[in-house]
Amino acid sequence: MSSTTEIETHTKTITLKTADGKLFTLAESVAMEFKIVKSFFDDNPDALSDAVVPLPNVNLGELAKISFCCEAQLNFRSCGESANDESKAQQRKFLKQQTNEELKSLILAANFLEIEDFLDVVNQEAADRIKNKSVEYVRRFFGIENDYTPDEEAKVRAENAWAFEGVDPDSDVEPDEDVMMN
Amino acid sequence: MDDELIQDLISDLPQSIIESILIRLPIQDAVRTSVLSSKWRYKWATVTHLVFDNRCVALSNDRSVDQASLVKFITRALFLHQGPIHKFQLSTNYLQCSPDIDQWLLFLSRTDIKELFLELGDGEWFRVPSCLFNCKKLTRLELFRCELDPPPSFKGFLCLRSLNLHQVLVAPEAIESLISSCPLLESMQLSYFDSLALTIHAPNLKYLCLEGEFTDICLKNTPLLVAISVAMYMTEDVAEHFEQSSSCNFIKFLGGVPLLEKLVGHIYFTKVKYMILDFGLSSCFSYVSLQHAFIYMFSILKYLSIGDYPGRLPITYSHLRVIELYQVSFEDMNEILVVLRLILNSPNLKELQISGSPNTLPAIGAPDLDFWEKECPSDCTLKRLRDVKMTDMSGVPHEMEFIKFLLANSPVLESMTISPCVVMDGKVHMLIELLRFRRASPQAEILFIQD
Repeated sequence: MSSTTEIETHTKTITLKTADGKLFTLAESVAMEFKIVKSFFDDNPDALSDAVVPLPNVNLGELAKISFCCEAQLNFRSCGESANDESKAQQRKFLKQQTNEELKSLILAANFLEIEDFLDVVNQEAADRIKNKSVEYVRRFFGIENDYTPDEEAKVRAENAWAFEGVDPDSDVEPDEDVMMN
Repeated sequence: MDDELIQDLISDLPQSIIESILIRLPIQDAVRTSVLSSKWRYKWATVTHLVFDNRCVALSNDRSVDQASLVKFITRALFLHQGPIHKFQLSTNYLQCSPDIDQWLLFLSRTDIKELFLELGDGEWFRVPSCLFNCKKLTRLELFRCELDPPPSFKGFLCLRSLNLHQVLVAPEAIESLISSCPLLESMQLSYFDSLALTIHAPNLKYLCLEGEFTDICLKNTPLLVAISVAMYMTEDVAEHFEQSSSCNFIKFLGGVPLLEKLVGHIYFTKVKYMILDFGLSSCFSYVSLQHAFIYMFSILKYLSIGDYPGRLPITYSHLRVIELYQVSFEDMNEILVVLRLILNSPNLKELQISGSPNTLPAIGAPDLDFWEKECPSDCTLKRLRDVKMTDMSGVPHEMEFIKFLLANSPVLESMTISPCVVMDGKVHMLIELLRFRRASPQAEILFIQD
């Protein structure tokens, strides 16, 4: 995505370097929403304004998506409250289209970039996807390996039996529900 | 999906991210994550927000069984929880006066709790134990249908920013002193249904929402107020008592709020307190509940119109952009004066919404139309007024004069929406008059809403 051509020449921009070695330029106002970028400039007051900020933990794909969402939100924020709700709805819609894998990557990227608002939205989407799902499903969703022995697992279930009341133990293992297409 | 490629990238994320996801799950789902893997066993137990409601447990048809399940759930959750609890929310109608609630509150008062939300059922109101007043770090408190009795040693919630009391039983003196002992209070909602004379000292208050039977509202020290929403109920005898009083209610209520941006004066028809005889009100009224509301006819407008007005208003509302007033009686010159005062002292007013009084009866005698020339200074331009909505218009002369006044003095007006509540002839008459009125704004649209 050639974002440099889209940026007007008088808008101040910042260039970021992703983990996969790509350069990504975006408007300063958007970049400053990423705490890690802001800290970079705060900690290096001598850094030139065209210094390239290294982001060793974020790939281009995630960065582009996050930048897109943050930019949209910034634009709406200046338009007042009702527009802000609309922007949140748009963000949610965008996130719903992400596969589970893509969503997880976004969480990790947002965590690294330290963008609080966006993290809230993306975590909400993750929570929505695992709500009311079986333990097996959640394990698969997050890629968590069950390291309990059967005895240990039984103990934990007993300890928290009060939270499992009403859940049919057989329905706790559901068929593959990952319907998101890659 | 190729299992080998799925890495567990989540379990080692900082607790803050995990918590951010866990608190967005219903609590029973959060607790169940304990079974995911050994790393997850107690991740749920350190979340700082706990939200409980009827959905935490599987409900049966037996109320006492459900009550026991819910009590067990909450007690276990609190017992297994580790670390600080910042927010506790409980909404349920299954726990009428359960002694367990007292114990939970005692537990919470020892955890530096910051936000407490308690909504219990409609039965006997919950008596809040005194340990609530030991929650020194409270920043938000929201209670529904509770009885509050602050102990004499209570010095206030010094960190409280938001106070919402919906239908609470508190002694009147206790409310005032509660408000004034919370120096950081920014937002307050109070709905109260016993006669209450309320004086508010809240130097940081920005948002105020009042609903109930107030015999008096005095905003004594609220210089930072930005938005006010009031729904007043007044009984006839209270209103009569007022007619004798000379202190100016307008000044008492709106005299000290220079930063005001939004003012909403509601009238609510919720609970029926009396059986109302049919006063033979005409069928053009669109609210069935209007008959019940006969006693509550007096709106904030009426309240504000009472008292001797000291000539020029000493305050300009330069930030007031939105005014919404309901039940304005255009037969009452004093009420019209209040509306005018507000408008003329709000140079940046952008939106105005006025609903008339649907049972406006025809005036006795000729209306005093000179009133308009007397009260409106010739240089009064409403420089920012863009949108006006007039609903429940009966087409009485003063209503039309008011609309005429607005149209003639609003150079940037974009829309004037009028919803009449009269029969066909009345509508035609209104339309004919409207056509005549001069408009200061060439782009003003007049929208006449027919049902």
